[in-house]
Amino acid sequence: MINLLIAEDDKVIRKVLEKSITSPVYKLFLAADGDEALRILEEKNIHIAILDWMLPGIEGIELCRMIRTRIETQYTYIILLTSRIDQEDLVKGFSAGADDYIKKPFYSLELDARLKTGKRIIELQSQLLETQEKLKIQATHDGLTKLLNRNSIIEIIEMEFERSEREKIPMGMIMADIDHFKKINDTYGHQAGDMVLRKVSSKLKSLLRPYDRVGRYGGEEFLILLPNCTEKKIEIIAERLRTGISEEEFKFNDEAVQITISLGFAITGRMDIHSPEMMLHLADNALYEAKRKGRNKWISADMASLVTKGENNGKESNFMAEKYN
Amino acid sequence: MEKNQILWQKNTINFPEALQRMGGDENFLVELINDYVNEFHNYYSGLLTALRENNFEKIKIIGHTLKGSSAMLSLTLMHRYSAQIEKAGNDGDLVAANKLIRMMKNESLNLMKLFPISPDIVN
Repeated sequence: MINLLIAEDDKVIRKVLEKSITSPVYKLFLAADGDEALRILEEKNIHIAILDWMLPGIEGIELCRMIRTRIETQYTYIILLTSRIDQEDLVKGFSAGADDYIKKPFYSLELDARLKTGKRIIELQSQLLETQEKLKIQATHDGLTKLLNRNSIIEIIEMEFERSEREKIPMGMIMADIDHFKKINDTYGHQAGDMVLRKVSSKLKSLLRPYDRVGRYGGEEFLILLPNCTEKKIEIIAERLRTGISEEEFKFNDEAVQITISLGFAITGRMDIHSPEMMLHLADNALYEAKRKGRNKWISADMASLVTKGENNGKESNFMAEKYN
Repeated sequence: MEKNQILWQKNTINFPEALQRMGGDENFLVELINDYVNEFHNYYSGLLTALRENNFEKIKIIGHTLKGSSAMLSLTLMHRYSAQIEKAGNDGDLVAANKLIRMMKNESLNLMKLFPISPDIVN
């Protein structure tokens, strides 16, 4: 369906336009002055606009300029309706952003032909936008898991880190890794491994808050960004992710297999974190520590740091599990 | 055909041309002419007010609007007068505007004779 605006103050010409456009592909919106036309343009997603050059209120040529200065992904194809035909006026119309013009008086066949051109352009533009969107998704998302890819999640983390510093709002980062993933691939094959990756990805996403972001960092590693997240919250979320995955049912050749993840996390405002790289490094160290401690657990960067200093106070996810369950 | 010929000779309307423009839909053309006549009364009042107030911009705009619709309906004389009224408004020529508005009123009466509309529409 193509949304078509007719902005014409003269009732007779408006009626002729309305009557001439018979194809059901067009949904008509009528305006008798420039202000009404602007309101429709702002409220509706107008694909084609037929604007009378001289309108009460905002003139057609001015509306043309206003449409072109808007930042919109949807292109509005503009046909100016005018009795002005000298070269200077035409140049003025096209310079303001018109795509075409119809000289008054017009024949309905001519109008129909010009509308078909507009429709063709709009359809081409829609296809272009669709392709652009697909390419954007391909460039920013992992094909297998449909999560953000490594570059995208890092880019978002960098932006969010800056925002966190600027607004003094804590931000958390979790690095998660599927335990014994190689064994799954070796035992059940790569298709089973792919299935685990897809299922874990989808589960992680479903367990996060709507504004959290998760990306595939590497083979079976995931990077999770938690904006506006306190230490307490990140512990709760990490535990929710750990239990959520371990309780998920995985079956290979009718054999139930338990899949678990290990997690390491860091939070801004702690341990003098001054860059996203440092935060990533600390979360990675914590993940390593969770793996070393036996997997299927989470460890914070603070705890991992104490461990490396030999001062582990034993505050780990398996001891905390009871508290959060 | 005879009626069309008369209209054409009268210089009021080029009926065949207008009919072709409307894709051959005679009923629709007549409906539009009735709309035009109905709207004309409002524009005419607007022009008289503009004349009284020496509002040349308004004279120009109304002249321009009438020029568009009369061209659309192939109303030959109405189109000519409205184009001249637009110019008079643009030039600030009150005398010419006054004269043309009256000529236009007379032409509208000719049009009404050819395409009578219900009395409740015309004041």
